[in-house]
This record gives sequence, structure tokens and C-alpha cells, in this order.
Amino acid sequence: MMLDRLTSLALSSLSCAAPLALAAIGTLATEESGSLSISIEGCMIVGAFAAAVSAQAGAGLVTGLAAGATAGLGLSCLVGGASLALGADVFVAGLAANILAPGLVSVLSQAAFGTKGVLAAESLRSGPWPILFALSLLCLLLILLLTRSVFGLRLRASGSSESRATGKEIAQAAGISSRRYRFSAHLIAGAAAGVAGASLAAGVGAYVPGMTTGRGWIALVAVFLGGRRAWPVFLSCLVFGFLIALANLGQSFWNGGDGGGNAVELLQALPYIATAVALIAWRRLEKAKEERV
Amino acid sequence: MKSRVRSRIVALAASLAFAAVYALVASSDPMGALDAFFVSPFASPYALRSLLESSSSLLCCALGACLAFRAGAFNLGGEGQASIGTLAAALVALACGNAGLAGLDAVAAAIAAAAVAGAALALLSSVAESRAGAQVMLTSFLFGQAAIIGVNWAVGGPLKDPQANLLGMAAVPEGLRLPLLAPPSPLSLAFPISLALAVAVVVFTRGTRAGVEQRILGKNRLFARAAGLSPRIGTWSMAASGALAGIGGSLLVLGQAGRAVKDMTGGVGWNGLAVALIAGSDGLGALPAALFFSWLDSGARQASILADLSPDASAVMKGIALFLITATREKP
Amino acid sequence: MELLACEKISKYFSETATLANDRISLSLEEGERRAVVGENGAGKSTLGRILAGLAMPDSGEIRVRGRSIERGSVRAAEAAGIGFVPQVSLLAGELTAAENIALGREPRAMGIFVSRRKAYIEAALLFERFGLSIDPEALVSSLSAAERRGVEIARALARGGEILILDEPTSILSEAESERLFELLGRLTDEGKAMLLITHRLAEVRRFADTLTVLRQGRVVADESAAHRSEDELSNLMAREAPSRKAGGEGRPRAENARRPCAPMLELRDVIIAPGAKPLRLTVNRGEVLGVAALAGNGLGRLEDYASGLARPRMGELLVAGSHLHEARRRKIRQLVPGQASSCIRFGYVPSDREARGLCLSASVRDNILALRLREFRGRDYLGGRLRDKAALEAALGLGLLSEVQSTAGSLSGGNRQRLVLARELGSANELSSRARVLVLAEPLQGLDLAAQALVLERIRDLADEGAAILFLSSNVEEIITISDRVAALYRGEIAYEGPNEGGSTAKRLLSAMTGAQGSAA
Repeated sequence: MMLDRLTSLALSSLSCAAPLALAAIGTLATEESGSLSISIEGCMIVGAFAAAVSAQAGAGLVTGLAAGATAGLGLSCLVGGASLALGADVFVAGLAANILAPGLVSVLSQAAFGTKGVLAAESLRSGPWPILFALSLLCLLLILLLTRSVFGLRLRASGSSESRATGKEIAQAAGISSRRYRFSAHLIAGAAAGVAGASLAAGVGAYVPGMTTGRGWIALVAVFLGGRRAWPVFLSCLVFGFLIALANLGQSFWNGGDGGGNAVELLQALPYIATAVALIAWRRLEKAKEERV
Repeated sequence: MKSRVRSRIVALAASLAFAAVYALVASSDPMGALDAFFVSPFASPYALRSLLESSSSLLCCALGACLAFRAGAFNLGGEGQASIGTLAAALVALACGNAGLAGLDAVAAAIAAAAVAGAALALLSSVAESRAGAQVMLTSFLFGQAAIIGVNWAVGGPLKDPQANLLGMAAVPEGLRLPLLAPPSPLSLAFPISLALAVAVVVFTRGTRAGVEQRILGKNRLFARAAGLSPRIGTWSMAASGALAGIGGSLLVLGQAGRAVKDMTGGVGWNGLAVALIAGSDGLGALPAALFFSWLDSGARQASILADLSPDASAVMKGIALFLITATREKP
Repeated sequence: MELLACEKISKYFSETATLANDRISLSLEEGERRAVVGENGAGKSTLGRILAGLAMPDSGEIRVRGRSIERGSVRAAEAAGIGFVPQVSLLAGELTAAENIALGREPRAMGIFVSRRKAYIEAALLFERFGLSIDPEALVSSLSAAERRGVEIARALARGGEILILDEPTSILSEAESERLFELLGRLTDEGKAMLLITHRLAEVRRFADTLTVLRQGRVVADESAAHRSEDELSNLMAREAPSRKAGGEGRPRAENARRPCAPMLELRDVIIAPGAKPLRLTVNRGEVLGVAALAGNGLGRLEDYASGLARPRMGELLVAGSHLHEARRRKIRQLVPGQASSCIRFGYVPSDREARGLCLSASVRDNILALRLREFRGRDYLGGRLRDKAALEAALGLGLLSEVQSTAGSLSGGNRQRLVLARELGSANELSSRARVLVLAEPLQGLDLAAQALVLERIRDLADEGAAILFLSSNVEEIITISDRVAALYRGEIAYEGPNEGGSTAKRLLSAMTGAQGSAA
């Protein structure tokens, strides 16, 4: 019994962690390129919706994920375009995307399907293993892209921040257009988050408003926690995935009848608090180092 | 100055255009939808008063965000500060009720408690920055989210009202709620309070020495330091920012709702941030922008009831407005 | 055979409201070593960046081997054979040395991946060829400044190949390292490469260059063989016009100042300005102007940071009126608070980087001018600011700044911005104040025309006569000689000369000391 429980916890941890990891690594690309996109949550939402929409036409998992990627790509195109081409503050643009996304989905859903609530997507429904496989594969590909490819190298150069030169200047000195790489990073982040959102819909076999439950923000927190390196971000997502799975388990375990007030709920706050503490501690160490030198 | 106003008008016009197009395209009764959206929020005194009331809490949060921007900090914890404000206000109001106290004094105490709670949460980030150099933008967001989870747990759990059927605390007694100004409309003391705060903020930012110092600090921190301006202005600005968000939360509890429930803030902090980004940092545009947002919500709601549009259309319009504002290179 | 030529290059920067390059033309032959010399702000770096494709000129043409090349494109410049070693390191700190060298022309494995092996080998070969012992796998952020310079040079050579432009390459190098660099550059020019050396170290020009171009305030003022003039003449040629001694205040009897008792108001004790430099001691007494001259890259900026109290020296200390200056006290003496004791010091600071430290560009002229006097109008804050307007206007007019006090500082021209800063820090002529003043002025005359310069120098003289202790930092010897009572020269972070100002002979000694021609302090 215990072993069963543990393995199921492990599986659900991985299932929770995988979309986080994919979205986080995608966003890491934008952070490394010097133009951090915070629109993960919004891209996940449109991604989940797009996957469910594709299921109305009978699409399966792969097509659904592709639809999610496209939707996320579209939204992040707006964010990247506004910030890189029109000079918008990339942060505010990301915020606007996050505000826009749920509303847009609701509007489209109402107009096309007459409901702004649950959208069933039976053909999209898949078991945990195929989803896990797909997400892990994409995640690994992204990590490879960022750390070993020519594209990844130039991306990182664009985001370099030295005390007296900006990433833009550094890239320019090497004959590279930082703008192009930053925009590509936005597209990657959007597509990745879109797939992550689509995978959520695939897991449940439907689009449910609010199904992302702030996971996009958790993925963003993982990016902060991991610094600018892929593996720490990945690991953070594993830990956060575990915490989410644990909280879910706890809720069904200690069911208070009306679903409220379990101390296990507080587990959801752990990622935020842990990251805050880690950030502060890390900064403190950096500061002390500077003063010593 | 002119281009600032111009860009806001463009953003406004674009989001309204969306509403019109949406109504025409998606509704089976376009005229009815347009009427529901553009006319009915203003059609009766009741509707107007509802509009003002619903903008009160939002206005407070927006003012808080403005003050933080002005001092050069992105306070992303507004939602959490408002949340902790709801809890503080509810606790103090219930305590007063149990002690037999009532009247405006007690209400003021509840609001003050909310302000202090919000300020304390914001100050955590401010201190983290001055001591450790951790960016306020990140820590305020993290602490804020943690606070929301904590408050939701408390309200739906240990502090839950055992007799009620919802996830919330016990109702605040009648004498401790914000008095209604024009019953049966929901317009309460909340609106004049938020209005007074708006005036205070504008007077501060435009007319006082501290307001000038705050602006200099926000625009060129190095120069502020070189000129010997005290960095404490930054700390006070964050505290005020948190306090205002806390007050915004308290107005929700002490107003129509009458009790603290789970997920009470419902995005007022984030909307407040968006309003502040549209309004500009001196707080002058905060009232019109907050009213605009309230109207969008109200209009979309009416349109979904009276015609068959989605009530979330307002979110799309807000997003469009925000996109356009920021794309025209306006920074707070 | 003409390798590189540029014609009528011009560039205007709106952020600082300055014309950096004004119709500059020069040419470079195969194997030629040309130096581009000029003072701070003469436009040398801008020209280098434009030729390298890092900046787009407003007008003008660049030709390589007679063919016009695309401007503003690093790729085009590199394709034409131009390699650039910038003054500010433009390496990506988070990448390794090998990756930085490969960046933009990466050797590939399987089409999309970087071949780390090939990049390593290329970098290792380059380093070996130039005698640099740098680990190609080392992160650039962990390299020393000299090593970074080495990587930049290797990169420029790997890319450019034929024409090498170096912008102040020795500014962070020791004597020995500089010598090695020149040997290397000599070998390269023997191979037929052409070299453009941007520098203000005249000793280097003598050592290295065949020809030189002298820039002053964005314009070419001389284009000739390097042996043609003496260092003094060159220095004079480079210097921007400063009011002659007559206009400045030579007429004032110096004896007056000599009689004043020595009361040290500003002291830097045992402070280290540059890595490897000896600890430095500087004292400015009451009623005297100490002028410190140095060329860019010799520590004047660091001296400014320490003297103004904005940076705390890791070793040694800053004393103002005999007491240590901690941050709280610094804030107190900067801000004018009515009712403050008359024993409280007034500390004025005119920064060399006025946009970063001296102005809030988006704030009004009024708020900028009154930034140190914000508490003066307490209690009368709400009266539409008319009192503040009046005070601001008065202060502005005192230095000839004619501008609406409501307009933003960012809308002012460079010269007017300088007047604004000076108006704020120097105060106006009819201000009555019995409080002791300490002033740190870094390049205070930048951007001003001759008449304004004379006005400012006179005000400085007045302040000194009233008892202010003034530290005057500049790279222009003429100014220093005009205004100072005592002078010092800074070279590579150390005091190379210190003594009373005796006019012409002092100027010569300062110059030699500044350029490193003389070895020891007088």
C-alpha cells in the first residue's frame, strides 16, 4: 500500500513538474537573452484552450500540443513585438498578455461554442506517460538548444550584462543582432508555455477556466530561483512539482468535507517563500563578497 | 504632456473599438449588446452609484502602485497586501463587535489595521532590498503570493465561520460596516474615502517637497544619492504603497460583502497595477482610469446578462489598453 | 596603398547634446601606424566606434581599399578587414574566452551545434601566436582586465586581419604589459597590417606612431608625421580653449592666500586609486584651490568618486573638516537645511558625468536647481511653488542660464545643463553664507563657451577668497594653471607631481608628469 502511494506520488510529482519545467526552460531563454517575458501564465491559458479547440475537430495529443504551441507563439509574438519593435516595457507587455489571455479565451469560447465554462476535449485526453514523454523530450531539446547550439550561444551573448556595456552592445560587437535573438527567445518561451498549457488540458481531457491555477507564475519563480542556468531551473521545477503533488494529495487525504482550511494548503506557499529566502540569501552573499574584495 | 494624453486617448479608443466590434460580431442582438455595454452602466442613478462604489477598492490599490512606481520600485505584491488588509480589517472589526464597540471609530480602526498590515508586508521587501540588495520587484511578488495563500487558508480554515455555508469568516456586524450613502444603491463611505486618498496622493506628489524628492529618487537614483537625498523616501513610499493596498482590501470587507471570504481580493491588486500603469505615476489619472476599468467590468457584466456576450470581454479590453499604452513608450 | 580612409564623418549625440565628430577625415596606408590623439571628449572613441561599425555616423563615408563600405555594421567592417579593440570591454562575461572569440563566426558541429573542440583550438592557437597565456575555457568574467584586453585583441585579429583599431589599449595595462603590447603591434605592422591607435598618452605616440591625427572638440586640428612636434606643442594643440590667465584672475594678489593659515578641509589619506598604485595623500586647505590634472584612464574618475564621498575607499579614508565622512554625514552636508548650525559644512560637487550624477533629466529645471535646497521652503510647499520658481530663477540667472524653470532639464543643451549644475553647486554671487564650503569640481568647465568659463572661474576664485576649500579636477592643464593655488598631477593612480602654482614652468612640469614622461614626484 505504502509503495503504491509513493509511486503514485512520484508519478504525479513528475506530471506536475513536467509542464512547469518546459515552460520555465522556455522562459529561461528570454531571461538569458536579456528580455525576460513574464507572460507564461497567459501563454499556458491560450495553449490549453487551443488544444481543447483542436480536439473539437477530433485532434489527438500531438496535434493538440502543436495547437497549444501555436497559440502560445501567437501571444508571445505580441509581447515580443511590442517590446522589441515598439519599445514597450517588456514587463508591462507581459502583464498585459496575462490579463488579456483569460478574457480572450472566455470571449472566443463564448462566441464559438456558446459557453465560457468547461470545454470537453475527449480526443485530446491522454494518459500520464505519453504526456510526460512528450514534455520531457521537448524540454531536453530546449536545454540542448540553449546550452550547446550556435543559437543558444548568441542568445546568451545578447543577454550579457557587464558593468559598463549592455548585452545589446556586446552582441553588436560580435556582429549579432540582439533584437533578433531576443524575439526568437520570446517565441520559444511562448510556444513552450503553450505546449505546457495544452498538456494540462490533455491530462484532464477538457479545458476548464482557471485550470492553470497559477502554474505559470510558479514556473516564473523557478526561473528566478535557478539563476541563469538550465539545470537549477529544471531541478527547482521538480521540487515545485513535488510540492504541488503533495498539496493535492494532502487535500484529498485530509478532506475537510467542504474542501477548505487544510494546513496542507499552505504547502502551496512554499515555492514562493523558499524562492524569496533563497534570493535574499544569495544577494546577501554577493553583497558581502563585493565588500570583501 | 500632450503625447501622454494622446497615447491614453488612443488606448481608450482602441479598447472601445474592440467592444463595439465584439458586440456587433458576436452577439445576436448587437444593438442590445452595445446598449448594455455603453449605456446601461450610466443609465440610472443606481447604476452610476454602483460604478463609483465598485471603483473604490481598485482606486486605492492603484494609488498604492503609483506611489511605488514614483519612487522607482515595482510593487508587485499589491494583491497580497490587499489580501492581508482584508484579513486585518475583518479581525479588528469582529473583535470590536465582540467587545461591543461600534460606530465610525471602530470602522476607522479596522481600516487602519488593514493599512498597517499592508504596509508591513510591503516593508518586508523594502528591507530586503536595503539590507541584501534583493530586488523589490521580485520579493514583493513572492511575499504577496505567499500572503494570499496564507490568508485564503486562514479565512477558509481556522477562522472560518462555522455557521455559514461559504468559505469565509463571520459577518461583520452592521454597525461596523461602511455606512451606505444613498440606499438602496451600494454606494458607501468607501468611495469618498478612496477619493480623499486620491486627492491626498496627488497633493503629495505634485505639491510637496517629499513628492519632489520621491520623483528624483525614482528617476535617477544615483543623482538622488549624490545630492544627499535620504533613501528613506523609498522605504516610506513602499510602506505607503502597501498601506493603500491594504486599505483597498479593507473597503471590500467593510463594504457590500460584509465579511471576509476566500479569494476576496479577486484581482483588485493586479487590476490596480494595470490602472497605475495607464494612469501615470503622479496619481492624477488614477481616478479616471479606475472608473474606466470599473465601467469595463460593469459594462461587460451587463452585456452578458442582457445580451449574450462574455463578461470577460472587459479583461480583453484592459489587456488591449495596457498593450497600447506601453507600446507608445509610456513608462510610469 | 591606401587601406582605410574616412571622409567628413560627423556624429551628434542628443542625449548629451554634443557634437562628437565634426567632419573628420583621415587615411591609413598599409603598414602605417597612426595615432589619433585628443583630450577627454574630443571624439576619439566615437570615431573608432564608427570606423569599426559599432556606431552609425550622421554623415560621411568610409572606404577600404578605395571601395565604400556599409557604415554602422560590424559585419561589414569585419568583412572589409577591420578589427576593433574597444576601450570598454565588449566581451560577454558569462561566456568563455574561446566562445567570445568564436561568437558570430562559430565553428559548427552537425550544423547547429557549436564545435567546442574547434573553438578551443582556434582560441589556443591565437593566444599562443600572440604570447598570451589565457585559458580558452576560462569564463571571461574571471579574467583580469589585462587578460580581457588580450582576448579582445585576439578576437579583433581573428576577425579583422588587416586593419586594427585600438581604443586606449594600455589604459589598464602596466608598463611591462604595455611594452609587450607595442612589440606585438610592431610585429603586426611589419607584416603589412595597418594600425590606428587611439590614445592620449603622448609618450605612447612617440614610441609607436608614424603619423598622427589630433582631434579637438570633434574636429581634426592636425594631421602630420608623429615626429613633427614636441609633446608640449601637441598638448597645447589638444587642449580645448581655456580662458587665458589674464581673464581668469592672474591679477589677484596671491600673497593674500599665502597668508591664510593652513586648515585642511578635505583630506584623502592613504587611498589607493588604481591596482598596484602607491597609497595616495591629498589635502585641500581652507581658502585654496588645489588643481589635480590627469589624462583619462589615470585614476581621475576614481579620485572623484572617493573625494565626493560617493565611493568608500577600501583602504584609507576621506576626511572632511578633520572628521571621517560617513554616508549620513555626507547627506547632511549636501543638503541645505535652514536653521542648521553655522559650523556645518556646505559640500558642493560638480560631477564629470553630469547626466548620471548631476541631473534628473525628466525633472524640471527648478527642481534640479533647488535639489539641495528642498527644505528651504518648508511650510510654504503648497503655494503653487512660486517662491521656489523665483529662487530657481535667481540661481539660474546667476550663471547665465536663461531658461523657463518649468522646462525639463533634458530639454537643455549640453552647455546649459552644465550651467544648471554649476548654478546649483556653486551658489550665486550674492548668497550670504558664513558656513565653510568644500567643493569638489570634476571637469567643471565642460561644454561651456569661453565667456561662461571665465564667469565660472571668477566665481571659483571668489569662493576661494571667502574661504572655500576647492578640489579642481581636470585633464586640461591650461584651466588648472589659471585657477589653482597648488597643483598636482596624477599618473597611473599615483601623484606624479605636487607643488605650488608658479605659472608657465609649473604647466610644463604638470604636463610631463601627466603623460608619464617624468618618473618621480617633484
